[in-house]
Amino acid sequence: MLAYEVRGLTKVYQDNIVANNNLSFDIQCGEFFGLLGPNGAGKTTLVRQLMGLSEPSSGQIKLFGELLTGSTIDRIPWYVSYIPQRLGAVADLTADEALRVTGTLRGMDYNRAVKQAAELIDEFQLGYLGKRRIGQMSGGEQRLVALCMGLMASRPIMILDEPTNDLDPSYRKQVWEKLKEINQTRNTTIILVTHNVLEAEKVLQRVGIINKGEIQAMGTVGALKAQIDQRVRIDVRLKAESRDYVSLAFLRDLKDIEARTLSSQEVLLLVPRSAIQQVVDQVISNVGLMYVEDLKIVTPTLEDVYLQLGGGEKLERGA
Amino acid sequence: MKEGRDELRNPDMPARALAIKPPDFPSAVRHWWRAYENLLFIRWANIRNEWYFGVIVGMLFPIAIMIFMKFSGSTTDPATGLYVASGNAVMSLVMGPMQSLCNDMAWGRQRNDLDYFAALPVTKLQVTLAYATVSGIFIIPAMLFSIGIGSWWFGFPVKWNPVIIPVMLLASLSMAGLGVMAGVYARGIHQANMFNSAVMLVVVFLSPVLIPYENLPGFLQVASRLLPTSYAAAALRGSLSGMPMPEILRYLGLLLAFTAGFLYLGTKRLDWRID
Repeated sequence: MLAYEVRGLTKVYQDNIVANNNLSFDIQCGEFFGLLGPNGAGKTTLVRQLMGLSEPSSGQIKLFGELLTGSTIDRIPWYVSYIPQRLGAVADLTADEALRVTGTLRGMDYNRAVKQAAELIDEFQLGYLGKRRIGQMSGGEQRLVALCMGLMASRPIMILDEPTNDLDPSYRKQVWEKLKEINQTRNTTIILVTHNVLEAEKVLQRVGIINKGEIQAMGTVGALKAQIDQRVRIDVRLKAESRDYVSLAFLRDLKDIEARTLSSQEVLLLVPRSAIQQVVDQVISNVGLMYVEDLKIVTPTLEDVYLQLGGGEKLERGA
Repeated sequence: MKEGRDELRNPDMPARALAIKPPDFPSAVRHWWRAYENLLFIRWANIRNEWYFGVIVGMLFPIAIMIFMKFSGSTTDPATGLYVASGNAVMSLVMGPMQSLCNDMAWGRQRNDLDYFAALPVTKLQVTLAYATVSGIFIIPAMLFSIGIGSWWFGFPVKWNPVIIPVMLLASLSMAGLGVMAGVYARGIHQANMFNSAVMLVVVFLSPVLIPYENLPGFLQVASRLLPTSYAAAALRGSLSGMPMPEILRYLGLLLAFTAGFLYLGTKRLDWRID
């Protein structure tokens, strides 16, 4: 069964700003779906439309087969958990109050809401926040509280907008693990917007890349990787003192590789898999190991997919 | 676009998802009330650290008006005193929740704060009532203070009638829906404030809340019938001065009609969605 069916979805704001242009796609029940795209691509507008928070200019959305119209959008919160990026409405509540209130507003019994709130606060080690109000917390702390609010009174679908923004690496890891766990154990359909492409790659089953309001690519991570340049990337960074002693001119003579000089000390090589060993040997013998600061061999990642198919040309940016 | 999704299908999901349904009667009533309580709590949390400040400020305006009326020599007898004091009380009761809702809705929409409510199974009416209730509760001290000080200062006797409780309740809700509507139409908090000031001017200077009905020019006498504050003031005066119950009930009925009408229009116009 499909969780969401989106057909011809278009959103045009005042002044003819097109946020979404004729989007059509499905999201299966139990999927872990990621929406990637640069700032202003139309991702947040799309998730707001999936939540009924923004009215489509044209097109339609079905949730579990039911067309979302003026009279049925009120049912969305019974099936979908969504916590907006801003927590202004609950800014004066403490973390445990916000979790409890969110749970009971979603229909939980008071005692069950208190219990689940305590469990989540314990799991994410948020007890130290004590009686601090959400409005007084750091951006990362607010993100974690928002995630916990989203987890209250589990819903079949969870929509998250940039859930790992502002989080430190250990918390980011914990958030991804938690989302993966609820997707696998509770079969919760997860739809998330993120810029954290490298981390998301480990958990996302399917990805939609959106830019300028249009879907540039959609498919499983593996299928999308197969669509882009399959050459391996070798990033070479030389030490600063190499400037007077090393020339990279030899790279021009290597066959079947594409070399791009990013700076006087950085070069990027696109190499067929069969030539990796040969190229690495050539680099080290010509440059000298003592002058190599860093050398990385990178196979195509979801980030490459994102940048090549949706977010711009990574190689030219030298990212 | 390639979509190798067959491996993603989850046969257990639809049954579990569709098992969740909005509650039917009577649990829907319990859910409604529980949601209302929680919304009240959220609104209370917004002001719990400075509630006393709001109460004190709420008393300042009625006191200022009474001082003005006393020292300007325009209030010379107990009957006029009752008129002024009850008019003051009505100003607080009606304008407080209306202004508060107008600002909250305008501010909430401007900053997308209402998304939180929109993403939960709560109604606009519940949010409106919860916000109006908390505002109304914190206006009651100002209202009682206004009557108490007025009675002591202007020498009018107070005949408390229990009907004052529904009068207070309906008076405080009578323009709540109008506040929501104004907050929805305002482009931001600044426009909302301008609207509040304009309504205050109309109610203070152009309606029979502080000015006796007989003193108003004919067109304002007619126009005042379109304002719930006129009936709230009449009902409050009646419940403090021994007015016959049928007459008070008539005013209450009109207040109820204004309350229901404005709440209907306000919640109908309140779109969580801002595009």
